[in-house]
Amino acid sequence: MHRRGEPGLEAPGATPDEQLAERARDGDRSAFEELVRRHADRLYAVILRFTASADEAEEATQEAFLRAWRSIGGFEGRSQFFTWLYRIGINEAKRRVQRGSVEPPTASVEQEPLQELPDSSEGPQARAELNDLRGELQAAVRALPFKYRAPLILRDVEGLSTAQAAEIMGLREAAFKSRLHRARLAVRRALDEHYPA
Amino acid sequence: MPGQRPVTVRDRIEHRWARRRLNDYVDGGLTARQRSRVERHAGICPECGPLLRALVELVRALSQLGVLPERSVAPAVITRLRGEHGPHH
Repeated sequence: MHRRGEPGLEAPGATPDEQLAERARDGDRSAFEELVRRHADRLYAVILRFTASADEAEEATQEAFLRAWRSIGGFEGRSQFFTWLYRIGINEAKRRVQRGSVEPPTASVEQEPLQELPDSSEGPQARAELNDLRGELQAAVRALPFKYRAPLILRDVEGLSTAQAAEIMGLREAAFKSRLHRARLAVRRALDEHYPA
Repeated sequence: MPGQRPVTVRDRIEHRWARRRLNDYVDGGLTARQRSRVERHAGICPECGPLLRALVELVRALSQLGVLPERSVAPAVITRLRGEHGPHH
């Protein structure tokens, strides 16, 4: 797996997404294919957080781009292309979750006190625990209900801004932040069960 | 606790103010003055200090989860798109 760059941040000299989208709106398929090359892998990585398998994530990614292509006439350039695209992708992921992909038990998002993670400077045992942390963290995120998992994925995992992520979710920023904060608490609480103080 | 000064109304107000802003602190959504105020309070509050550290650690750990697939999915998407007609308006 490779680390990813920022969506919406084209390479210097590259045609901006919004210009490609405008050409795609006029029927230029090659312009839309360039948008696919730019965004497919990162959108796939986001959708993978909601599907039961990599195959399903790949299928959902294809569906999302098909929907985007069919409705490109509706992209008016008021937002960045990638936020419009990601919104389609998140909605596709949500449909699959609601359709009943196998989902782990959902985590509680009620507010409770938190504890700190083990200190990485405390020696081999703590470091081994930290090696397990990634797996536990993935499981804790996946256990979140969709309405809390999506904000966490978009903001904290993918590194989008609050404004971008809220727009993708179709939420006002205050509502988005409320869900994000509750998601963080729920994940921390799930980790606390594996790393009690 | 012995040796501790009593918690004042002002302390409680400050605690409520800071507690509500810990996530915004982590997200960089506060002014410099607000950040300093949160840090001052977290430095002395037995609840907010650990909570703030926990949030910072969590967000840092979450930021390490995002990765791209080894094999690009774009070619398969493009193949599927080429079976489609033009966009609908």
